[in-house]
Amino acid sequence: MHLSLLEVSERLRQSDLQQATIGYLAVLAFVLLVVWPAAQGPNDSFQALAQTNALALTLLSLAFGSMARGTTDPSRQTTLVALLCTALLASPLLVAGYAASFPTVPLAWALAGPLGYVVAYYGVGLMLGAAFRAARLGFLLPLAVPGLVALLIVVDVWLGQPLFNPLTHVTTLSLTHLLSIALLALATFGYLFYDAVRKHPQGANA
Amino acid sequence: MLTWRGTLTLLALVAGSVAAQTRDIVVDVGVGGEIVAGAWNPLRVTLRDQPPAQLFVDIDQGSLREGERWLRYRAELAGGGGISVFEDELFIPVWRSFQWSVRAGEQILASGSFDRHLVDERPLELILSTQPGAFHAYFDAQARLVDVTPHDLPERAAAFDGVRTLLIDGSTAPPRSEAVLAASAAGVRTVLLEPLPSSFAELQALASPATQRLGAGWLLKRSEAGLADALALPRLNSYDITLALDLPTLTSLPPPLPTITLAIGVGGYLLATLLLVGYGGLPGLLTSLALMPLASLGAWQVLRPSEASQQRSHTLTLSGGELALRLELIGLAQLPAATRTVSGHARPTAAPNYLQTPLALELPMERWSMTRLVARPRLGTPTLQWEGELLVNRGRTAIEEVYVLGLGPQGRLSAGEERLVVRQEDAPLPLLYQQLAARLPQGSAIGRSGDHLHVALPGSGGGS
Repeated sequence: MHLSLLEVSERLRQSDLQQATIGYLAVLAFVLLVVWPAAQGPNDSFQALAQTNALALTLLSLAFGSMARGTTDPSRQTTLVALLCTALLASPLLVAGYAASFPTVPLAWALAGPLGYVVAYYGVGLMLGAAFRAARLGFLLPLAVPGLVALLIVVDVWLGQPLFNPLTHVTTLSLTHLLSIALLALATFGYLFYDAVRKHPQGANA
Repeated sequence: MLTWRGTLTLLALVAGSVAAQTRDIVVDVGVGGEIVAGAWNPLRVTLRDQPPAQLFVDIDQGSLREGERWLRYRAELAGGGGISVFEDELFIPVWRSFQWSVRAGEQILASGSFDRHLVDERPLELILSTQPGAFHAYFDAQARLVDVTPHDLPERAAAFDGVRTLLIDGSTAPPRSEAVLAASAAGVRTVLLEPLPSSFAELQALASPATQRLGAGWLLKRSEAGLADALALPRLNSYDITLALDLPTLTSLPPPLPTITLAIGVGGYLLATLLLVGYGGLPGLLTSLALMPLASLGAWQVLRPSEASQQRSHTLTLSGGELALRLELIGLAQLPAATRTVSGHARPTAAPNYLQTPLALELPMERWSMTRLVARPRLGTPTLQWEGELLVNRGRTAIEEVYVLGLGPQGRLSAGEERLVVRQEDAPLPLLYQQLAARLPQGSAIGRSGDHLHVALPGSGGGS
């Protein structure tokens, strides 16, 4: 797998991801300030902030994954790492909300969960984009991305199991949800690694 | 087909005692078998030749709207050869169901329940007499009169929490002095009806002068002609007085960081990060990733409240004569959800699920919640006392801001100091005392030592 931090930093400076990063951080800051209590009383800011963060990262990951064109696009891994960096940059805001709110989930879950969503749904986005382009429906991808998120939520509600919904379970410790996201993330890593080996059979850094 | 004898027998078995007690295990709740809902009641378990066991008491104090709210009491019973007795006080709320059982492992040795129709919040008027009916006319029609024997009287102040009167006419064996003093200290108007036989000499000696404040109550010596006046003395409500200790200094939720300050911090971090990532290239990206944990640590230090769990108490010593009743209000504040353990006996002012044992109370609390616990009243050492017209500080620390209701502020009393109280110019009651003063009779002296309040009750009648 050919990947360098220089490429990641340059990827972050490209207009699409740069604008997405600015928008994402701005939305989180806005949510944190809006839900921050003005008077003495319970501080529930983490709940709204974590849900916004999870939903935003899910949408971003699906969108950028679906936009990755073809199986020979070398920037797929770079884009994934850039998205992970973007998610990491938002950590102080999550920590601020967590420190003041005393939520029931552990801090590690609160910080690591979003990173798992990035990887997991990036892979789902890759599949989504490939499927829609194969069906010559690529123009519907801007609708398909939010539609897929809604579908995942509906599936969870229908099954009565916390599998894919990033909204409810980012603030609730759920083993089934953890396993679902972990499997998707592993599948994403596996697919990207397999793809890199397949393209460069002599070695990852060829 | 049942005969009438058989029918009667069956009815007696079914509708009689609600306690499936055996001769070897006896569980008594309340004074004289009468439970006062909404008060502390004595609990006594007598075991005869039983193995070590556990006492389970489960009381549902919920409602249709709130659902079930369980008060659970658990205690270890020593058991063993011969007779063993376990005694304690248990706060008994108004209940929907009230069940008890004595178990040895998985085996239930005895069990019972108290029907909800037995719920009665009226205080008890105890009559210790061989002819209790002779005194019924002195009480209201709504009074809850209970005929007791000397053996029925507990010897702990909290056990008399639901008792208003103890009338002793001398026709029975004398009760233990400890029981009489505990009753008076708890707030009961204890009346010794003269003439008393010589067997009551010890009690007669205690009741001198004939009208005296003892703790929160009275110990009175009266003839039958003066009985009506004695029974007109009101009973102080220790629960209400304890609630008057609920002040903002008890516990409070931490105030949030001002939003503008948060906005400046968040905005500064985001600006720095975006500039570094947007214009700094790889060094900028690495710097921003290094800045991320530092910013997280800074946010944690600034925004994390220093106390995730708070427990503070305000205490009050209610002195009357040579006895005092110690009251305590405990404030709990809990930021993360957790189960709090408070040593001793207490009752929450709300009606949550909680577990009480002889040593501690366990209360599950939700995140960002506060609650108040009223501790079980107990005997204390008198501190601020009236001796005639003199106000005396019998404690070991100075008492500040002394204020006598009806006479005004009296300043500071050093440890051991006696002072003649005189009327002072009208001055506003300190804010700290306002809630308390409304529940005390005129002539009461109030003072404080830090968070501890002292009250000296006047010797003459008067009530809240």
